[in-house]
Amino acid sequence: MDEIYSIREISRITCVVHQRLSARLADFLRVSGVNTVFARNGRSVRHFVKKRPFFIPGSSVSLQDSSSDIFQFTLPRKFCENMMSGVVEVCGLEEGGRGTVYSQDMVMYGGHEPNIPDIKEYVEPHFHDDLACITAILSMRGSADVCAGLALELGTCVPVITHGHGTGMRDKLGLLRITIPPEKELITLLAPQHDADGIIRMLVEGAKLDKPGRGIIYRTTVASGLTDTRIHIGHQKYAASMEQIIAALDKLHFGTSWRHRFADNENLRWSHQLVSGNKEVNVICPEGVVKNLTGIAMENGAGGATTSTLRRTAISDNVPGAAAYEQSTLIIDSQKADSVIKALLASKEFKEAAGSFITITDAPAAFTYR
Amino acid sequence: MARSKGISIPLRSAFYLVVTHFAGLIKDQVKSVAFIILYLVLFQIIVLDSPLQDAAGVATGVALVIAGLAFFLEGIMLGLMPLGERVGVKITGRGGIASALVFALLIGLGSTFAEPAIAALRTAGSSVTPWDAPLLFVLLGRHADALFTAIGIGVGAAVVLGMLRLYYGLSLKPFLFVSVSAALAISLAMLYDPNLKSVVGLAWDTGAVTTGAVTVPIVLALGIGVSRSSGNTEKAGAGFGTVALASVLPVVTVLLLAVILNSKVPVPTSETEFYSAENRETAMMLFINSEEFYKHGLGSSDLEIRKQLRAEFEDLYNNKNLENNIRDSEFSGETIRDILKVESFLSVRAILPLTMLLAIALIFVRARPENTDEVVLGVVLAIVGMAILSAGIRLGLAPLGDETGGQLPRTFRTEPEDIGRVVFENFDDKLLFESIDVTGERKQFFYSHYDSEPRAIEFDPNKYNSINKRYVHIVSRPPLFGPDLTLLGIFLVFAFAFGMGWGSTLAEPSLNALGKTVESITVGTVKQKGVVYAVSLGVGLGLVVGVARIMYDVSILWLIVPPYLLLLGLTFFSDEDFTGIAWDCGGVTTGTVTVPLVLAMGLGIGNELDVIDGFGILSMASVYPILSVMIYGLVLKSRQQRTLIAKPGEENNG
Repeated sequence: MDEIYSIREISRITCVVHQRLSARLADFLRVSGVNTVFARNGRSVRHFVKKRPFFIPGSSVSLQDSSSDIFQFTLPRKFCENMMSGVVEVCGLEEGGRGTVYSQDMVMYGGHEPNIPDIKEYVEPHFHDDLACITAILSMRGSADVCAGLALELGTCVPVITHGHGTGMRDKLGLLRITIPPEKELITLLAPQHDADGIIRMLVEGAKLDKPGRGIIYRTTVASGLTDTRIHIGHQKYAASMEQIIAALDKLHFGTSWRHRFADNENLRWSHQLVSGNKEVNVICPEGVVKNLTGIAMENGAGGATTSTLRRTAISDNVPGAAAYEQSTLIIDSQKADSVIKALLASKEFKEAAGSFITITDAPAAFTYR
Repeated sequence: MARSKGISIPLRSAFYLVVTHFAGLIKDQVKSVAFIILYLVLFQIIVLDSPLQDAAGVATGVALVIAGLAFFLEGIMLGLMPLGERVGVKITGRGGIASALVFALLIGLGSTFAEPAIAALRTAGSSVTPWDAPLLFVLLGRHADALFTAIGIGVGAAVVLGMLRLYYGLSLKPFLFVSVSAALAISLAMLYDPNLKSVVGLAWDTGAVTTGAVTVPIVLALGIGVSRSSGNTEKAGAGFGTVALASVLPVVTVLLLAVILNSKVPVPTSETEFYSAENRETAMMLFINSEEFYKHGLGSSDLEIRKQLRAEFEDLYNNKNLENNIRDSEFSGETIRDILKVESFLSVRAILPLTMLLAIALIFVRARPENTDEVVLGVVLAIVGMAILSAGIRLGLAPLGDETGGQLPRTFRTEPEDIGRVVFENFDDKLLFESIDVTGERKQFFYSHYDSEPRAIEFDPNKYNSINKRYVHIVSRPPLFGPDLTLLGIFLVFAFAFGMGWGSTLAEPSLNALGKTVESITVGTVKQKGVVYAVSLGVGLGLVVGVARIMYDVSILWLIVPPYLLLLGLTFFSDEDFTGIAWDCGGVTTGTVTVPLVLAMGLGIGNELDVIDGFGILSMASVYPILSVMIYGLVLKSRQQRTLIAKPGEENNG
């Protein structure tokens, strides 16, 4: 390695907000001086409850999409909580139906030094510190809606779906690859940590991830976060919705552990074991180079990657770089992760000055067909 | 590249992969085409009660259309759109905005030359006469080049403005307000000049047809690329809107061209006056040369004029075979091979130059496509697909549309229609016999077996020539729904127009490409199906209105001004995203599949009712989809609003 890359321990904050709030959030981030904010489009899925027409008793439930914007940015860890509190206050996230915010601890290689946000002290709302982030990368069109439906039934949170492109086996096929659609659906949901593995197992069965070519699901840890609790919209029966009652109980119990539902030893009885000890590696760089970087990662042991397009907002003058970025997400065995990152950093395509960087975080549980 | 270490796939599995993939694509297209084909065939057989002519040809054509659509759409998604998006992302970054604008102008001009809309316009105006609407006549004939250039300038300016807007993140709305109001104002002002009045329909139709199946995906992808590289997506609506400008600005340029040309063109007159010797000099101005003038004149329906012109013409050229020459050239038969040859050439011309332009732009900014092999394959597929598709349309879909469209007026006709004549030689009075009805009125009949079975035919003394013993029998067909039931007939015409618009739009390839793009950009919050159905509904309604205009001869302004004003109002309240999507849909609708079918229907009805031209119907098929998509957008918006509870002191739109 000729160049020395900076290695930082940072927090990555992810804000998922309703599209109507995104301009406000972008302004807030711009004013606060966060230098590299990446945004992408997503959709939040909720249950829409409707009374049946013509006096037929009961109600029907359908999935209702709404556009969301997902903002991600990195900060030095100690400023993270206050920044999140700021986001919660500016967007009014304590109210359900507006959005979710959470932070994850990561190690960051390369990229620009994260700015220290220039904001006032905000009152800290009650953040949960026992959440886990479950991400599923699904190859079959429509499986994201299946997973979203399951997650909503469990009442965990409002799932967010984004789109990406897969690379992996497909790229080894030559031109024949056009016969396999590269589009992937990515679904992200927050769940109480102790329930996360149970939920993963349900999603594996729901989306048939134990069959070849269906996708991968994994869990990453969340440092703290506030979830969107407005899971149902439309017709409401009681004075408070179930989610509001759960949120109130969460506050009373100082956490979500009282919601524990799945037996601890379930993993032992289950025919497919969750794999532990993986890393989630995200390579973020200006559009166009990610493909070659993914190739390098795959030569060094990564199984496949999912690329999503990002746009960089809040560009300030002191940070050069274009607006169109790409992010490649790789799930790698911890033992191989080091060599992959080394190879990536050594590559000529990886230009720190252009704003490329790599983040790495633990993925304690993962599942895919083998 | 990592791909060099590819794994080899046995031939059999590779074959399996390819076959299943294309089978899937073809299945999709079968679904999208099924409605319009079944609709046309069933309408013809059940409602019009007439058998399908040349069923084999139609079936071949339909098969070609399906295969062509599958290949073409795959080619667009694989080759043209990724290439366009790549250029859009790279050119503003490395080439700077100036070079991007020059390139945008070239793309706009190039697309007009690649997909000339003039053929469709000529078909729509095939019955325009130089005496009723001289200005319209020269625009489609002698000054077609000027029309062509005006359209090119309009589209070029639109692409330039579109890119500029996306680069700087400006809202689409002011652009629409200004250009649409300008077009409306000029159109209104033109009402006061009989010559200019005739051009209004043409101008608005021009806007509808300019953006073809190749231009739309390229311009769309280019816009998305530019918008993505500029990072200004919040205000500019993610790259949509350029196609919309490309269908409004040509209206303005064509209207302006008409104003400029108007001073050089005589005022409308009657046919006899037009061909009179005194008017000869002015009349000649409308044609490229005098030969063209005589050709046109000899096709006149007035016998006196024909005789006079023929004499003049023979004096002038001493060439008696002219009339036969015209006939010969018009009625040359077409074989599948000829059609495929012509369409292949047209398809190469439509796709290759634009692709080359994109490739040159990429070389200019020293970038390359992400997957060069995919793009090359995509372009080849697009060319092959387009050739097969257009050939299929000409062989199957267009004749089917012509047949049904041509017979359509039967549904509302109140009088029997003459469909042919039979001459009986050696006719004799002895063949006649008499019959009587209850009031005692008598009629004369005779028996004939010219149709294999003996039938009684009513005898009309006026049609009998006793000297050469010839009786001419006019074969007529009674009105389809009896002499009084025209209301049902008119309803059927409207129903037919609606179904035709709905069905042909479902099959429109550029709309499918747009729908897919919308779905992927909005991450599925706006579904492709939703957009396609909203647009199809709009086109169906638009065609109903368009047919009503032809049937009742309503002024085109009555049809254009109110919906556009309503649209401007809705635009004001609409989201930036949906404004772009909705207005783009209007430009996209009238494409490869719709135009021939719609024109066939419009002209079928128009010819029957002796309407000057079939213009206006295409622009109707373009404005109503904008309305329907806009309303669809508002519905979606209000649904999404449900999730968001406004906080106190915060207005509802965040």
